[in-house]
Amino acid sequence: MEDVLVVKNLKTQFFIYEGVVKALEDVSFSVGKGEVLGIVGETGCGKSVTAYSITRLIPDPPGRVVGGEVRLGNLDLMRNIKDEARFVQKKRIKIKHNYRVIRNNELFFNTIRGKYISMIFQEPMAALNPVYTVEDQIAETLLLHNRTRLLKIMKSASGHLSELEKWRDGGEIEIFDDELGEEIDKIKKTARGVESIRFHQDLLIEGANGFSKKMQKYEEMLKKSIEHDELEDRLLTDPNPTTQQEIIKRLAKESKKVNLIKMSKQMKRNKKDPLLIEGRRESFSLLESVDIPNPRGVLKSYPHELSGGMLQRVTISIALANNPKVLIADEPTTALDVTVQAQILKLLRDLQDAIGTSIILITHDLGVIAETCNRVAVMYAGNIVEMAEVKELFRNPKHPYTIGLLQSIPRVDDPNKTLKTIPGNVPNLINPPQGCRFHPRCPFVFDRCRVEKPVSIEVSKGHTVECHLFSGKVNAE
Amino acid sequence: MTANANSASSNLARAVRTRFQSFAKTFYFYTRSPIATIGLIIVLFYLLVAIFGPIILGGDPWRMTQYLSFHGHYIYNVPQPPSRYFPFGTTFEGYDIFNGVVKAARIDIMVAAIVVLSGAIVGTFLGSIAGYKGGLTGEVIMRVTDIFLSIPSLVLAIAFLVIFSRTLNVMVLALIVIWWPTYTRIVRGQVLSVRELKYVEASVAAGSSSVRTVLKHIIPNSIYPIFVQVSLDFGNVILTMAALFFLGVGFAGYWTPEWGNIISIATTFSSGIPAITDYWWTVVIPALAILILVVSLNLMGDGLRDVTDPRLRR
Amino acid sequence: MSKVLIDAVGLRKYFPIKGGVAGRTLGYVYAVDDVNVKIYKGETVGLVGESGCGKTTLGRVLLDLAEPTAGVLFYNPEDSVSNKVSELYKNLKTNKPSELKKEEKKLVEEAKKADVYRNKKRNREFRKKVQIVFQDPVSSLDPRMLIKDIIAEPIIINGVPTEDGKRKKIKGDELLNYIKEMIGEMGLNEDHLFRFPHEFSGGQRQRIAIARAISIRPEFLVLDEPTSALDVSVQAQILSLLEHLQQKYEMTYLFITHNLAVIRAVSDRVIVMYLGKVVEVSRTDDLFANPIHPYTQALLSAIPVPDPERKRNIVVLSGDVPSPANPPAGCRFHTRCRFAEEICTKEEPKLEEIKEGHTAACHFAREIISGQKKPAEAPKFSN
Ligand SMILES: Nc1ncnc2c1ncn2[C@@H]1O[C@H](COP(=O)(O)OP(=O)(O)O)[C@@H](O)[C@H]1O
Ligand SMILES: Nc1ncnc2c1ncn2[C@@H]1O[C@H](COP(=O)(O)OP(=O)(O)O)[C@@H](O)[C@H]1O
Ligand code: SF4
Ligand code: SF4
Ligand SMILES: [Mg+2]
Ligand SMILES: [Mg+2]
Repeated sequence: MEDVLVVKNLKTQFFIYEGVVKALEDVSFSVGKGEVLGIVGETGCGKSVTAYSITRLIPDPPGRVVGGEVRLGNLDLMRNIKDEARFVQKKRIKIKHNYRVIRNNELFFNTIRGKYISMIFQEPMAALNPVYTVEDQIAETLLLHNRTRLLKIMKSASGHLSELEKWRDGGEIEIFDDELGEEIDKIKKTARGVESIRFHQDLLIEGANGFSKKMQKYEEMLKKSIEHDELEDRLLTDPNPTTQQEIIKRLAKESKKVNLIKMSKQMKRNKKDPLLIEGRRESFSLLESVDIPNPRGVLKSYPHELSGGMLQRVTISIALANNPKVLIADEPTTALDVTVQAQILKLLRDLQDAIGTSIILITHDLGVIAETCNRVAVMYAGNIVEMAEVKELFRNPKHPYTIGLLQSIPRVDDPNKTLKTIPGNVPNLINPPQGCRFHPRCPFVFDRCRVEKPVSIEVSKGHTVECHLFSGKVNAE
Repeated sequence: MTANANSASSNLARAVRTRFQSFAKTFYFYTRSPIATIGLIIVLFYLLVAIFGPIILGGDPWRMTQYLSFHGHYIYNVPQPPSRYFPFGTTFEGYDIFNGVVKAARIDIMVAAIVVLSGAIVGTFLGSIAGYKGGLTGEVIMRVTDIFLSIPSLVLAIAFLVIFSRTLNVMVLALIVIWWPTYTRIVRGQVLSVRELKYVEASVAAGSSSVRTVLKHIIPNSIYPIFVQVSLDFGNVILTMAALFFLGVGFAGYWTPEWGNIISIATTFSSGIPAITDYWWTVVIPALAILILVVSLNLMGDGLRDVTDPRLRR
Repeated sequence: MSKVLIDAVGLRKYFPIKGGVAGRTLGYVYAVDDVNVKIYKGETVGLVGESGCGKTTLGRVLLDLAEPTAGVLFYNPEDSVSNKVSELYKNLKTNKPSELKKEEKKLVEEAKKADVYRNKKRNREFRKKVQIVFQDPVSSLDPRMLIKDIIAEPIIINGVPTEDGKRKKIKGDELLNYIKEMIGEMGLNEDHLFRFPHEFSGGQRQRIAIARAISIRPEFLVLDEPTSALDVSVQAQILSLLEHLQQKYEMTYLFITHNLAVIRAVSDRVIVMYLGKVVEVSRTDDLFANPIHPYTQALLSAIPVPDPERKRNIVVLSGDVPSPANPPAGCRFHTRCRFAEEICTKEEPKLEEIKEGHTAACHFAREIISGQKKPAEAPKFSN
């Protein structure tokens, strides 16, 4: 399987009053194409920090990614992380930032986030702006990252106006061999009822009309937008770091020129803008695809008017709007009731089947993992201690921590299970235990564990464990 | 017996140490803001001046003048610019500004402290009743508070002084009357939110009386915004007091060493000729004394607000 | 069966919704609506339901931490009195608070002597016998108090029980030693007593909260989602601690949670709530083996099972829980129920004993368990 995202030796720390929190010690994993990778572990083990490190959303100060690699295609997202800041050892460690580098990296990451990597959070409110309607917010991401597609659909639509009108008036429509065709195909599949198809048809025609009126302007926009996309895609495919550097510079220069916030504000004012009309149609279509009842009502509402489950559907639709390569979902159902959780998980699975995005699903619930993921990484105190296919992990857990975790879950389906506990508490990551960080709680601990950090060992194909119990065996074999 | 006493004292020591560590951490966060630290240092300097200044200087603002004239240095009635003998110069009638400004520090700070603390105590009391008990009592308290808040404070103080008598004591009273409603409002808001927290309910579930719950849990957890407000208000009280003196309403004897009053002496005696153009020091120096303190207090208040905001404690 | 410890009759708690000019009451949140609960000595009763269905409110009303809109609460009741009162309360039909108060006045004469809400002396006694542990380990400990002071508070107020059944106030070293002993039992140590709550992890805080609750040796303990904010490994620790304490101090538990798996592990009987109403009451094993109410069935099937090789048939409930301020008429579940018929939209089903020791509130309970009634593809009356 082709790896979409590869994380290697990621190390993140927080520099706070009490000392340095070694939140991620050495995290490595990869996500295959179309795979759902679960990351599971107890509170404070570094699941969210992993996600935030990959997307560079760690609040700084106090936090910094201090080392490691995150490869998306051929591009290392952490390529110049070391240039961003120096550390000065005084009574406390002080960070000296290099703000020029940081600003440029920030511009570059704005491209990556939302387009190639999207994220959804435990609290959907965190991802939404309380003062804009749902429609504005979806349209904004679409305009930021998905302009090319919207423009292409409109261009094609303006060429097929008469067919579209016939379609609206009740006739059949042939499926074209381009973006518009795909779109019509999708509408036919997902639209719920005549009303909804009608809405699509009207907006398509309105947008196409607007497009043909100012053909020149939009053609120009399309050309630029395609160039921009190509540049971005080259960034991920080009193996040469110096070329990458040049492309990043060019992109940064461009994004300084194009003030997207101003642009989307202007568009909001001009309700007749065809790009915005197409954006609205697409938003509607997105909400339909996440099974929201009454999508037109939801488009016009503000976040606080919606329930937690609805909001999470909205954020999922925004996150998937641009068909990202990787979707990181940080405890997306933890704040929801089980019945709503079941709805959301089903939705994620269905969408994943449909569009094939790779998903990193972070949760503390092994039940959720069992039902949704292909592969699992178990985290403990800033390390991935075990990684395997889902079935393998549940059938054949190896790491003492994984075993303890599995034994401590109460089961609805098994009345006779006696709950075992893992003694002790999650360690303080300012002064984490030496050697294996699990050793103070481990029932199998022996001398070596207290001094030497175990390395990852493959016990069977695709099943790796970080534990000294297994290194001995491998040596013997 | 000794073992018991030992354990009791070591327990006390442990409790004290924990609280001190918590304070040290807060202090560290405070000092991370250089501006707030400067504010704190200046305020501390003023406090030192207020406490020790009058003791060191002694005498009254005329002593120096009298001494100098006795020894043959002829002193005019017109203001003298800053000099070796009069570091801040003199104002009309040979009044030594340095001496006046230093002594004023004590009076101004003392009055402000009395006003703000009384206001805070009254406000905390009424605010916690209004917030915790609510009901009719709370409603009445809040309506009265609103009425007081809606009258401009300067007007209220002037009315007070005119109706009763124009003495320093009445002025202090008037200022207290002006200041309690702000605190009542803040405390009530704070109490309303703290009241909903689970530890308050746990205390009720343990059978704690309302008074006990309020004293043990609600007030200690609502008090921080009050500290911030106190430090911000301190400056406001001083400004208001200066304004009252300057307007001549707080007239408590011509030569009361009070910053507003020293300015007022200059403007009153110069009768028509603007003091500021001819004798800038008679106005600028006492005004600076006020300004620097008020600004520093505000910086300090902002710093306090930041450290008591858990989101900013990183 | 053992003796009834708590008997709540006709409990209602309506929260007024204030708004508009001068804080007029615009309506009510029917958080708990006509709930009857019996809890027997020494058992653990589980209370489940989705968030917002009134579990916490019921727990608070049962401890008299929130004033009920109507209802009677007996502690250690005589059966004759409580049975008579509960017969009377069956006639209380209205859901307007003002009318409720009036109607109720006629009924409660009988109960006055024994009712915890209305009898001051009983209330004072009751207070010393019941305690609560909250869900949120962050806000349930006063951040400005040392742990020793937090645990000491209930003891200072209520004293501790002595051998002869009286209560004794303790202080100073005696108090501190008592607390030290308790905290050892909770798996914490003496050093922890001189720290502030923010220095502790969620699990440790919950241990402290439990120590505070049981420090006065209550007979009845309400555990409001005590492990919902904790990790599974810590949850297992807390659950076994609670079990140990229950045996040692002979306590009765009301265990509130939204997690049916936890309920299965800890409780003897289960009460299922939906939108302020009790919809099913049963012995635990029977509930999990043969859930009757369609809501319980859906809830059970929605729980993810940590076993990737078990393919389950999930009944995905559509939509969200309706607002308790405006609950659906008739059966409150009818907007999401795949068995719903016309009658469900009009008439409220009564809580009836369907099998021995297993009651449910559904018009079609018998048809559903006998398999005569099949679910529709989608709810008929969803809006
Ligand atoms: N803003 C922060 N400041 C200091 N430490 C932090 C911060 N965010 C996270 N950490 C530390 O990083 C560790 C991992 O946290 P996190 O990734 O949020 O855990 P989880 O697995 O529950 O998502 C924790 O021990 C926490 O103390
Ligand atoms: N103090 C209160 N004031 C107003 N409404 C409340 C209050 N407490 C709870 N409610 C409402 O009562 C309903 C039930 O809440 P709660 O008992 O907390 O549910 P649960 O514990 O089952 O999640 C909710 O709709 C909630 O909004
Ligand atoms: S390395 Fe040692 S302490 Fe760590 S999990 Fe393995 S056996 Fe336990
Ligand atoms: S009464 Fe009707 S709506 Fe309610 S649960 Fe039973 S079948 Fe469903
Ligand atoms: Mg997290
Ligand atoms: Mg609750």
